Amino acid sequence: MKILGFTCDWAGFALDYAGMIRQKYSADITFINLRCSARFDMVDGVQALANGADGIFFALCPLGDCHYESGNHHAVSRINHFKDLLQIAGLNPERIGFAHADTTDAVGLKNEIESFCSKVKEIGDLSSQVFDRPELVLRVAAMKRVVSSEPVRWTLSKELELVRKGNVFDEKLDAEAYAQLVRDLLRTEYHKGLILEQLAEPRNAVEVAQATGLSAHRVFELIVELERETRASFDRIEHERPLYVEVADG
Amino acid sequence: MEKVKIFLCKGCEIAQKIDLEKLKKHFNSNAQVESIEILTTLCDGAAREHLAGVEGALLFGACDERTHGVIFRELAGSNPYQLVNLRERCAWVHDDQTEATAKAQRLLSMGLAELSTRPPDQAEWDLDLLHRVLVIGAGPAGLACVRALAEQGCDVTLIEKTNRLGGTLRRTRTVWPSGEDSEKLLHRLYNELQDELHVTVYQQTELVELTESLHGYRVKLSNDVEEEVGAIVVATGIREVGGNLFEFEYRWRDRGDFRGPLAFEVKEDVHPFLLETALWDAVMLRHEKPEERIVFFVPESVVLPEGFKEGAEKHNIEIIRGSIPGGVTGVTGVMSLRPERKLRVIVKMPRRGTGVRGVTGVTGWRGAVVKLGKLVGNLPQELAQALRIPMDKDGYLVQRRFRIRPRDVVHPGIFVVGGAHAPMPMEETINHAFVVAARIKAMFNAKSKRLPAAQIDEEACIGCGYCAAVCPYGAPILERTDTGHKARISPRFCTLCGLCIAGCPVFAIFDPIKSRKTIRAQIESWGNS
Ligand code: SF4
Ligand code: SF4
Repeated sequence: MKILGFTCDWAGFALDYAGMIRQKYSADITFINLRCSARFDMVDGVQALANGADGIFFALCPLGDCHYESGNHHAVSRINHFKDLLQIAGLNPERIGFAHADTTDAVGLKNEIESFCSKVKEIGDLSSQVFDRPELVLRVAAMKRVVSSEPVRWTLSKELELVRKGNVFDEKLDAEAYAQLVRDLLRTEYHKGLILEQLAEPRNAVEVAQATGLSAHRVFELIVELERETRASFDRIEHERPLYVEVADG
Repeated sequence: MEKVKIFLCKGCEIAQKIDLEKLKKHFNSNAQVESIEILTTLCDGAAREHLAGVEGALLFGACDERTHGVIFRELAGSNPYQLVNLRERCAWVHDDQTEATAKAQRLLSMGLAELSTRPPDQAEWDLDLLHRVLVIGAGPAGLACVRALAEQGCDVTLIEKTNRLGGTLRRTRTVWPSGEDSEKLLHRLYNELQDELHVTVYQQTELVELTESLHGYRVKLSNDVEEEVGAIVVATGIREVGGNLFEFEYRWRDRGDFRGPLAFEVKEDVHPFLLETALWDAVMLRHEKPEERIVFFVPESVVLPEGFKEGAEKHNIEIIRGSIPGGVTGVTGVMSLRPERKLRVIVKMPRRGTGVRGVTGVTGWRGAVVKLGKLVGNLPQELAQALRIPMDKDGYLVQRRFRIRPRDVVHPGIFVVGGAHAPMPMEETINHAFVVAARIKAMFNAKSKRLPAAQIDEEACIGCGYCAAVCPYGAPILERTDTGHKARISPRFCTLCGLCIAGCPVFAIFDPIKSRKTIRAQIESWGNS
């Protein structure tokens, strides 16, 4: 079992304090210190999955008590988006967990860590899920495309504006509507990612559909979009079927 | 890349829980590692002697940066180093030796990754500030601060928007709650100020422009004076809206006497501070005029401060819930006014004192009326923006980063004192000013260290404005350039929190201490070990 932890410097205090008062917890988890939890980027999360993380845990300051004003709010929303992405990719979102801990709340944090670790243990190894290892690699590769894709990052960067503006009308609804918007976008981008993974070599849509498990219709639709975004292009016609290929970056 | 020398500490139960020899064997075969040694303890003189003269990148496997950081900084000297906490993060929290050793190995690999990917030459930089201070606002807070600074040998420039010094002190009668005469206090502050040599005072002057400079801030004043200062003190104080308590006090002080019944008309949005001050005034009046009626008309929605009712009762001051029935009528006398500042009649004095007997069936109030309204901050919005100080809805400056630096610092080199934060008693204001002056002096002397700031790759930046919107400290600014908008981060304000770094849509922002590359390398080495 491999669990990667991210902790902000301040919740890191609690973690060190836990050591000082000998609060034992599972050795499966190893923490990386970030100054503020908001430094967490989904890119790092996917990186962790690619490197064999079975679970990812975050320790951050209590909401409203962030040492950088609003950092943990951003972090929590990023973590939630990341959970959504896992769900979309067919991985168990419970593999992602977080806990708010005061700088002195060593015992509380230890308990959270312990319960998270045992939960991940219950869910099992990432590669032990229904699909096999190459399939997992494929999914993670598609996720990687999602988190660094411009539309996704662009939309996430607009959260502040969109949700705050929404507040004037109805805060809750708007935040939820926004979350839904992000989920839809993540799903589309994830599917595009899956498709692009298949288009290293020229392929036709039906082949892609078979390899990705998406419907041929969906694949067609998305390939057209990818073409428009100049991320994929028409290559040639073979056996009366058009072949597409990914456009190399740059 | 330079090879790394690893030193592991055996002390503090680390050796009992972690198989250091196994780690040694493991890292000996690592291509990045030049040597690995196990020492009895790393935090004593023997280790220092042992490490004297060692050069190159060093990785310590020992304890907590926060408790022992200084020791390792000394131990490393000028060499780049990384401290991995094998104690609190491993030996002390895991019982099983095999597991603890595996985790220690992971931690060390991650430390190795961090050390080898850390950008060079990104040490903390000195904040070498000019020992000159600009104080904005010549009220009690400003004057006291100027005095304390001047006494400590700082050059001070004091600017005041109006043509008179004194601010609130000029407008009030006595200092609440000590009862000291305002005028006396003002003269004390002012005379002392005049004796100081280094103070330049500009009246009817405002700050019009503020830019950062190498040793502080470059300021431009409305009288065309330009100068560079190391620190700025905002002492712009408070202002009454919809009320006239200050004016009343001023008239009262001016006339020295007062006749007739007096009503305090409390507005719904009254600031509790005003209520307390007004009660204090009422009590003073009561001492002078034992027979006169003094009434507070308080709307139902206003919650009275603790002890207010009791205080009023004790001094035979009435509190009537509701507004003045029928309004103010039959005012027959008018208090004389000084022509100064062309103020219109504020306090109206009746010849014959009659008044409300109860809430019902009464025609109106005959007597003087003092209104208690809102108190708001006095700093113009534009100035607050220029100083990058967030304001709340009442115009008070929001104290930021209170967890990291309590009390007064908003941004390095910018301080807020007195009422500009929130209304506070005069004595507290003055004490606050002294504290701030001391902090400024300490800041000048300490040559404080600052973390390097986040850096923006101008080529990559698309000027989306996300960083400027998300940064809690207002560090990034969007600037118009030939190639569109570009963001620039001012190092003085950036705390390197990373909010903007993780959110920039095009990965244009770079963390000079823990870059994306470092985090990636850490995750990879975690994955591989
Ligand atoms: S978030 Fe990135 S792209 Fe946007 S303005 Fe800032 S640096 Fe430029
Ligand atoms: S790192 Fe934090 S403080 Fe620095 S510019 Fe970005 S958001 Fe602001």
